[in-house]
Amino acid sequence: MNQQTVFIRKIAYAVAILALLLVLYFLGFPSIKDPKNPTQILPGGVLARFKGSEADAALLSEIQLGEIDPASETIRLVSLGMRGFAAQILWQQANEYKMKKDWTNLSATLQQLAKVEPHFVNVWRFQAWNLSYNVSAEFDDYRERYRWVIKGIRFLMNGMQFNKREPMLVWDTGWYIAQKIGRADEKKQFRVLFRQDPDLTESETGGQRDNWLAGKHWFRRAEEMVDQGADLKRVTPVLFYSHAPMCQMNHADNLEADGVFGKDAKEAYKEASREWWEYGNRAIPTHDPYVTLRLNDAEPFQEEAAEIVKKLEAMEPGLREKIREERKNNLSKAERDALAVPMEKRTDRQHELAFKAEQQLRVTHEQLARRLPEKFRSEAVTLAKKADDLEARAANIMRHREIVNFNYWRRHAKVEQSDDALAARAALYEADQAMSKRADLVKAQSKFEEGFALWRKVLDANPGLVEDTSYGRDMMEVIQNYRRLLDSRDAKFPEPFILDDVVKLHKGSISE
Amino acid sequence: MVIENPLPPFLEWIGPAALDWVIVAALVALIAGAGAYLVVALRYGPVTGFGIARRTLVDAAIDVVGISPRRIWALGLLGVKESISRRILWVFAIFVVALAFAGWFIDRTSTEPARLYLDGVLSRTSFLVLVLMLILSAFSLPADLKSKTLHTVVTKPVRMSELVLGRALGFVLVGTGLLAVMSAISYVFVIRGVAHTHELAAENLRKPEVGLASQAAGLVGYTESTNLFPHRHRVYVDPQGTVNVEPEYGHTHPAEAVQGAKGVTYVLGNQEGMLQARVPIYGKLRFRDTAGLDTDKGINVGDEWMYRSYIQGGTRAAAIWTFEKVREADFPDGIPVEMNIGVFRTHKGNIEKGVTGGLAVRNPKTGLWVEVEIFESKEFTPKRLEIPRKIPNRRNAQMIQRKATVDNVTELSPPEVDERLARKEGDFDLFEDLVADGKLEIWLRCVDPGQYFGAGMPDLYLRADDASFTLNFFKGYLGIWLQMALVVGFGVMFSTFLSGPVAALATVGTLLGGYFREFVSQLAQHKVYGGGPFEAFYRLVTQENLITELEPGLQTEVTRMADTVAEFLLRAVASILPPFGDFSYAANVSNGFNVLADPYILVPVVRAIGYLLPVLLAGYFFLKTREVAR
Amino acid sequence: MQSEVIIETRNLTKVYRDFWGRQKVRALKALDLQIRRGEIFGLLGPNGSGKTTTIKLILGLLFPTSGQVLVFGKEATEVTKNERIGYLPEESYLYRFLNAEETLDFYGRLFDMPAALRRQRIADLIEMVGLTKAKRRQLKEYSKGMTRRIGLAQALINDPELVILDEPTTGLDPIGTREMKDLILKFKEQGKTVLMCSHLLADVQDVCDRIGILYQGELKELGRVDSLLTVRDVTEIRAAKLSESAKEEIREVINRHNGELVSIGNPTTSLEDLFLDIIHESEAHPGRRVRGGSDHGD
Repeated sequence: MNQQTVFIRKIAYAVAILALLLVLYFLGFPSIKDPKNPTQILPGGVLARFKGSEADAALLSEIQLGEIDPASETIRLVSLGMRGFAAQILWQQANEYKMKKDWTNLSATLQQLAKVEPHFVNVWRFQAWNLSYNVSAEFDDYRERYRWVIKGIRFLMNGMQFNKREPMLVWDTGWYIAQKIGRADEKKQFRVLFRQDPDLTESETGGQRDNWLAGKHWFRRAEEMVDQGADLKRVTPVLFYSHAPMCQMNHADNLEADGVFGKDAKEAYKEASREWWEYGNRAIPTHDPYVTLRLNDAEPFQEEAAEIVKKLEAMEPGLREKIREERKNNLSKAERDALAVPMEKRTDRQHELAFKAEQQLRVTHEQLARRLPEKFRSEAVTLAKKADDLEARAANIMRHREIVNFNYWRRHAKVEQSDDALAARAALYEADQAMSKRADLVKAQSKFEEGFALWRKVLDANPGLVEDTSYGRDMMEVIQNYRRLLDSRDAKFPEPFILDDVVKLHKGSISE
Repeated sequence: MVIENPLPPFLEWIGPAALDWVIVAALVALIAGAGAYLVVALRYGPVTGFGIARRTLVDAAIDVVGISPRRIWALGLLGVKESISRRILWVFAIFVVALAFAGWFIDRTSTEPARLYLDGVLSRTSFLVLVLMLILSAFSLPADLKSKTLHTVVTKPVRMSELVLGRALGFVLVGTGLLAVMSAISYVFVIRGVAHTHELAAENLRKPEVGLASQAAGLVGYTESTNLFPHRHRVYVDPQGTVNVEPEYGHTHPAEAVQGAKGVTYVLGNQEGMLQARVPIYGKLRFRDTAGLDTDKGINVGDEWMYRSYIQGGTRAAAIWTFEKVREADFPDGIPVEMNIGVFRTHKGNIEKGVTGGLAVRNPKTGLWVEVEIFESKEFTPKRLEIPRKIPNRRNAQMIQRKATVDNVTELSPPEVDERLARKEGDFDLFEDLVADGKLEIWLRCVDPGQYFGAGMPDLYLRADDASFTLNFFKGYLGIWLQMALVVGFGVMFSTFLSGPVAALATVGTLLGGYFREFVSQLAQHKVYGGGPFEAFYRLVTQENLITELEPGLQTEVTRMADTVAEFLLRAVASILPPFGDFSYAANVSNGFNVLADPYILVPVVRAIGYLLPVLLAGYFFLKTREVAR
Repeated sequence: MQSEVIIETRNLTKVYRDFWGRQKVRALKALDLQIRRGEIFGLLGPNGSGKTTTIKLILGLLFPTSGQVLVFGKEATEVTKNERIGYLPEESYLYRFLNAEETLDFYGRLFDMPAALRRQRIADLIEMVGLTKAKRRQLKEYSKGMTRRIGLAQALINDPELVILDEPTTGLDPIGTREMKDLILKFKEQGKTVLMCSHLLADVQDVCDRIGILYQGELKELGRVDSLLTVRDVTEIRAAKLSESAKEEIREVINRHNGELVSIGNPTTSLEDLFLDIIHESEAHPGRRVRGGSDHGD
């Protein structure tokens, strides 16, 4: 082998290496946003494009888990199986950077960390929380905070690409967009920033510029994944499914807070009502693996049970009271005395005794059925069992409803979409605006009074609404503003007041 | 973000440092000398041993004096040729590939791209160069010994001193060449990496949005975004048509309105301000508590990081920097000040506005205190303010005398002071009224009650000037160069008496030990949870928690005693290990601070020499006293 | 008048120890040796007999366990002595990534030679060792013989007074060997002192003035080559074209002088005999050493 062939061979190797590198470079080039039109994403190299097509998902085993990212693969290759060690070091570094408030390096380290352990979902979740909640709170400027909230959200989205079967990342994304942006102290500013953020893409927001609707988009996606069989892990299903309709509810409420009334608000509440009903109709698994329930079923069950009970009691009217009297005679004297004392005046001991006594006095449907005359008895027992079952189910549903405050929101959406309620809200909003800008106190007063009159109509149209504490507290705040307005105009608070019942019931809910 | 511990000026540093050096060097020399004599005396008897020791020392003196530059140069060149023959060019290839693919690994969402780029190239370069030099220097002499090429060399009139120096020189030359090429490539990479422009069509301008308005009269718009580090600039065009580009991600752009076929387009030229070399002048920081008394530290608001101390808003608390050598000639038109303060809110306040702060200057001699500016805080971004030459008297001005003093400040009698203040009618002159003997105090206070400002010493500085970024960039590589020289020194020294792999390990150990010197010395000073090495081991074996007290007993006593010895040794080691991290100016460069010759170059250079001299001398003794042919 | 002593060893002993300081090998035992200016001295012995150890001690590559080495009257560890020494190691231990010119330039610089002189010497030496055509090729491409020659050239870069050759002819073909021997003889003409060691008897026999024979670290024989070969009462008669009657006549002459004819025939290399004798004897009587003074010949 002479000198020349050796040299030529070397050159050939070099060229081959270069060529392969070039190929790799273009294959693996990550997808980026189009500089001219940022809502478009330039596809990037072939490997990066893989992630988009679900059809290719079955192609490579890695893709089953998520995206093949050449950068991540390289890091994992270079760490030569010391991945855990590398992750450990990076994690520690991230903590150090966080401690020293070096956000730039923290963010860079987290990106690397995620690339070392891309299929470890908790890394993504934990560190996204870090970015959106902990780091963003370190900034004094709300625009910077917003930027870091979005950073956390993008981090989650990045994580999704590596973990396509993981609903919690999707769900988290919905949570951050909806709750972090819509519930933070600086929600007013955040919502404006989100609405106007020119860098959010269609795929990131589901085409929605309202944070609640964008959040809903992600919650819905998480629901789809779960419906297709993804594991919910330790999340309570009844809560899990409530978030999307709640987003619609919050969206509608926020429209009003932003001064949007009329048709748009009405539609929003109608939609909220519809989605809430849909939610109520969904078969929801409970912690008992054999029981699913529908939240909407409570009323039909209760009605059916009442129907049956009526039938039972019709078989021998007054029997239940009779049994009760018998049992009362069997109680000890102390217990009877305790029962005789009105509830408020009982001592602890008496409470205890009364409780026990009540337990004994309670006549179940079955007990009732068994005391019925022979000819009814077998039918009655069957009916009683059914009634018991229906009542138990309804009670179970009611317990689940309480977790999400189902009844309140159902009524809320219904009440708010009425024309009177919308008009009342609009009037009170205008009153508030007129007052807070100190422009027109006369107008403010008249708008307040207009609003109160309309609200009276709403209360009259919805029996029981006046007792609702949430509504009561909200209205008390408005009434207090009204009172301040009157004070500043040296006017007297009207006697009687049109909403006297609200004031009487909810006086205690606000501080003077 | 911040340079936590700026170095003191060279002249302040050199005195104590030199003393330390002499003491440590003398101790090490004494211990090493005694040890060596002991060995020789054991082997040859005390008298002959003494003769040998004396001769070795005399020889050493001769070997140092008789050094021939030509021979060292020849050996140095040999090292260069050897390195080339060992295919170090591959390192370049790796480096270029690493840069080409760097885009994959850079955090695209970073708000400080310049810093990431600079940190990236500097750390990559130093990692590659240090590892390479470590291997070259540690394996070279042992390889020479093994192949016996050294026999041919040392049978020439080559002094061992020349051999050690020549070897070191050769590798330093190689490293220098590597760094020169790498820094040039990196420079182009960084400049090209952060270069970008924006455009904004006039038709996309609109009225300022609700809730964010500060410029009601004009029009605002957002430019299109960039590719890497996606960001936009908010552009405000005022009614007169002046284009105002708001800074974003630490930079702004020069803007120009271009009339095109489809209307006006605002073209934003290449970025300005991403790559900087600010020249800071630091002062001394003290605090004043809410009662107006001097303290060393402010309030801790619960940060784990103790760098910043906080002052409470709406009280008499203040952070006070005292600057020296403030000369009229340097700042004829006023003093630009830059600050980087932390904000801590105890209540929401006005979300859309920053916390209000006040900046005042005080004459440390007369006590005249004049408010210069009320400003709105912004965190994590350097805020630039100007102390004007003429400060109007209508501003808040008063006499503030210090009640308790940390240092001695002559307090003036109030009448004299009042007279002086009263006499003043027009504007205050910065240098006539407020600077005394070149000293000036700058007071930072927080105006909003219930809110806090936090500051560390380097958080407020006089921005004396802007130096050339290009030059500064290469100065950053000088830091790597020093680290490289140290690695070579240690590598060569260890390779004079250890085999290649062991020498490499020893050098790595020194390197790591140097980087974690602080931890080692904390360990030695019993400041680390879980006790010294023996106690830690005991806890490991018994699975004892780090915090729990060990049960008193014999084994506890024994481990504690062993630890006392170990800690003494650790302390000794910690005081010898070179703090490698301190030789790098990477943080300065990437944070956009100029690497001042004094102290940032002078101190590390002198320090490096301080380490290299004894290290190379040790290498000489090891080589001199070993048998080359073994 | 005797000429100046160039190398002197006094009671030179070298013991190799292991890491723990335990004695492993006594490589050299109390060697006393004097080599004078202008001499060609050969150290002879089988592998492991201590030749190389001796040379390394003389060069200062090893430190004596006891005793002393003086070269040009200075301690062997003294660096300046090297200015007058040229050393050709056993195998040319040279940097394989350098070419011939670079090699010589490097070693020339180590002698602190000015550039002009260096250039001149390099050209001369490359010419002398016949590497002109190959002077730009890296040493790793050299054949064994070429390596040997460039090794020789580097040993002579400083025009040394004392040339130390470790196994100078190993790896050389017969012609190369002859050339080397001629060169050594030329050194003598130039007044250089030569110390060479070899296990090849033929090398030493041809060119050396004096030889020392080392076996197991001990000097067994020392003396002029001619006298060493005549110490025994053996006369070897070599003649050519001798008739049978002439041989008979000679036999008679020997008988007349009370001699005893051992043999008449083709002579053996008698140094080899001597050498084997020594080895044989020292195995029979371990510890026998050459007596002081016997190296002065007659």
